[in-house]
Amino acid sequence: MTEAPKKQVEIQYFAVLKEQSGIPGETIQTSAQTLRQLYVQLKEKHKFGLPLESLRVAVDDQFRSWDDLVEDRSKVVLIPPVAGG
Amino acid sequence: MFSIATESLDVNLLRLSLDDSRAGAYVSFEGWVRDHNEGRAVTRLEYEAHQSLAVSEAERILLEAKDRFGLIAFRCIHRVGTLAIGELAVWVGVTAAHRAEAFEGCRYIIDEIKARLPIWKKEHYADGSSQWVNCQSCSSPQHQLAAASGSGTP
Repeated sequence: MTEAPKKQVEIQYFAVLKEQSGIPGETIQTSAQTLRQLYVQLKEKHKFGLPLESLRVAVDDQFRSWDDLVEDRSKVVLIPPVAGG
Repeated sequence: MFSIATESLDVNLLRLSLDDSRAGAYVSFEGWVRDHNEGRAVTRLEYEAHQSLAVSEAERILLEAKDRFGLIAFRCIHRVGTLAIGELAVWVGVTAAHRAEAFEGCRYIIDEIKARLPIWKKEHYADGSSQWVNCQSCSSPQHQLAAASGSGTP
């Protein structure tokens, strides 16, 4: 089996994730197939404390499911627990 | 319908923007920055939002409220940036033919806004520490160590 081609993804971090990563965002090449796998990779890289269950994810300005596929040249936003109001 | 504001809000102007001769009731909600939370003295709040996602989700909420409660007019504004004690952080205003729909619609909007919008709030405390609200378990052991040794945020 050949390795899946890598995809280029632009990630945006907010609030606690921005503080923990030290950056507002980054563009990475990833072999992750799903958004779930992508978060696992980023969690490891930046030592994020948040479990996936407490986050939401959006791609190109739409809320998405963690099982959705990572699309090449997409913009991914990781959304930590919200606290508006 | 919904907007994010970086400057302080003028409630009178917001109220006037809902003026409608079909309306018999106007209900508004103002969320203020208070000086304490869960037993800790708070000195200021810092809000951050994902602009485009917050706007699209808020517009969904407002239309849900319109459909459910038959609102005539509805509007919501949320502040971002650093807010001092007493400042207005969020404003919701609705009108309806009668008071019951107006009360319920306003309540629905503020409850959903708090639960669904990608907006984050950081509390700064009198003792100099700070914390993202609803994020008590957000830190990995490594980050907690960094915060404890003073290399966290100022």
